[in-house]
Amino acid sequence: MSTTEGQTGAIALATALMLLVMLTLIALSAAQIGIGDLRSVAAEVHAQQVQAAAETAFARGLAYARRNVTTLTLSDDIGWQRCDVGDIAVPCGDGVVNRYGAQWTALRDVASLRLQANGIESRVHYLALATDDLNAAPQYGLLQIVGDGRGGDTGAAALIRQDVRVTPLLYRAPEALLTAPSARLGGQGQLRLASSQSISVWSSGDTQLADATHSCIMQAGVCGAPLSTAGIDAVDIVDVDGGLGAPDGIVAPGDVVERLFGVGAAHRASLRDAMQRLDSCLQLDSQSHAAYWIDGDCELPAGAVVGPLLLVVADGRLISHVATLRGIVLMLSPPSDPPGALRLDGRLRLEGALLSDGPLRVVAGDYQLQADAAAIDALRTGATASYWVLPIPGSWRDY
Amino acid sequence: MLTSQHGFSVTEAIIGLALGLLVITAGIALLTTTLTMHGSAVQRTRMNQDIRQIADGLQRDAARAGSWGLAADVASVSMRHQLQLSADSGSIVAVAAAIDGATDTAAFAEPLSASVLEGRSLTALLRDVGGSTRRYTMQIDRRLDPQSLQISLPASSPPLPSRLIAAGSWTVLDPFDGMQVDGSCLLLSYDEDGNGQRNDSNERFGYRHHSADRVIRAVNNSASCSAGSWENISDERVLDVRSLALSLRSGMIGGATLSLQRPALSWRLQVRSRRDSTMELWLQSTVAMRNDVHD
Repeated sequence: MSTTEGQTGAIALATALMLLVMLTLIALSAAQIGIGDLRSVAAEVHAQQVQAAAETAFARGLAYARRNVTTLTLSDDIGWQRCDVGDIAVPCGDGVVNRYGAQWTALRDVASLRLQANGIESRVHYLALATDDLNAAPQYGLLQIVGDGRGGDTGAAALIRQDVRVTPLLYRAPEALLTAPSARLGGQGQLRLASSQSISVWSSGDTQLADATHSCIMQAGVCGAPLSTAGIDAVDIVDVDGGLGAPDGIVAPGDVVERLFGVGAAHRASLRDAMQRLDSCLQLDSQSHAAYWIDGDCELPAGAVVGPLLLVVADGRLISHVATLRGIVLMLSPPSDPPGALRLDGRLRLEGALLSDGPLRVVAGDYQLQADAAAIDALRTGATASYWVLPIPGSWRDY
Repeated sequence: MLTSQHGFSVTEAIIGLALGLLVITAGIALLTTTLTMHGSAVQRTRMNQDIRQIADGLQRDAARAGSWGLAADVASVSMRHQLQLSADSGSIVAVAAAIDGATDTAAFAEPLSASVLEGRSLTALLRDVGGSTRRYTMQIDRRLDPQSLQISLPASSPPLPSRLIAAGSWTVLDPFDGMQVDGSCLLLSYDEDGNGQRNDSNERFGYRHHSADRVIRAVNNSASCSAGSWENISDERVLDVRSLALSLRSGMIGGATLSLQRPALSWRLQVRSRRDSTMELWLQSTVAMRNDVHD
């Protein structure tokens, strides 16, 4: 009996098997390449995701610090802990080695700033220079913000760190009750100097008092005899007018923004960012102690006592029915058309200082500009002060 | 015996072989097409990965440019110490004094050691009598002791308006400032090990396009586009780098009047496949300098 007996299509079978083997090998090879590609792409995607998470955390940490710097750096009951030299965990270390010894204090993983999505976590940590007292609050002035992104199937992690300076927003206390390039103050105005203060108005141009407006020195809470009045500049008005009153030698600062905040006009955007933005001044009350910025008119709530605060009014008027405002008001590009920078339907009492980067004109109204050193001090120090949070050039790092 | 065999007839065999050949041909054609497409996809993926790897490195280094391990230390010391100067011009002794009851008077102790400070520039913001602020840059000649420095004001500079530099108004310029962009070449430096000193053998970074070899080259020890140990970072067997265009510009944040300058690096990369010149990729982006100057 032949071995080929009963066989049908042996060649076809062999061919089919060969094809099957070839196709299997190709499929396996393609799958292997595909899996390798997927792994590579997944690792890249995860790396990008954790980097983005770290960037997000850093941005949130910076924004939070800008808004809450006083509670963040002056409170000792929110979880600050001294870094240990052996601590390699973020933020005292980077997960591998310790980077910040015992001279730094850490606030780890601020719960309210933590974000989580698709297995990726975004955490915010803070580091501050510690004081010698282990139980004391971290030292104000220098803060490090740490953005921490981690997670994903590949266990990727990314860190971004940057140091920021925390300095009072108010760089210098105003020297005068009113500082402006020039001024014309009409209506029923009173410029009330403290006995320790000598300048009521400081201008690089001419300042004129008109109508019943006058300056005086406060004595036992009462305005003393007039110093300067309409047509008469006494030595308390330092301006450039050809010789009336004080000599013309001391020229007022050309840039009141720079004088007040220590930054020039080019930094107005960051100044604006550092302040709380107001839609309306009617939101202000006696608990308003921050630095505020409003674009357009600022209408103070009737009958309110506001501040101490730092208020910037850009391209608008200060409108008062009857109000008392404590602190410093800076007017940027104040309107000159009547009734001028102030629209007074009732009395305005400003205890502190008024500054303007443009000519200041007040046509009518009842207003008092009165020295208040305590209100200005409160803007520079203590829990009610406002601060710049400025990134330190050269301190940004990622890992 | 032969009558019991049931093989194919000639006609059956021819038809079978023809069909088999047809199937095999179709299979091979399909396989070839698949392999070609796969190869093309792999090639494109490889190109993408390579180009992105180059771009990531360039962007990461550009973002890190100017990073200095002692930036925070200098800021901290500056914020807590004012400088009392012995003169307002020429050679000056600057003595650091702690403010606000700070007990640490050793302003220029570790990590601000002599090797870090000497030869560097000290800049101060001082107000003139008119109230405007001006920047003065002095050379740190020597660290006399942990409290004082010997500095010198260039003869070309006007005298200092004050012999007292307030805390927070002075700083020491870091050794990692400066970034050069020259068309298709980028040079920068940053403090990779965070020790505060620039090591020219591994902390000077660069990227450039080599037009003859059509590759991207990188370096970590050169301050020149034409010197140093530049090495290929693009695979010359895979990528045909046609161009790399770099430009440094000042980004504007905010409006026309309310603005903040922030330097940014824009780059554009044109790459073709070495195997298939019709396969071309363009990649471009802008990366913000994270260690920009806030003055």
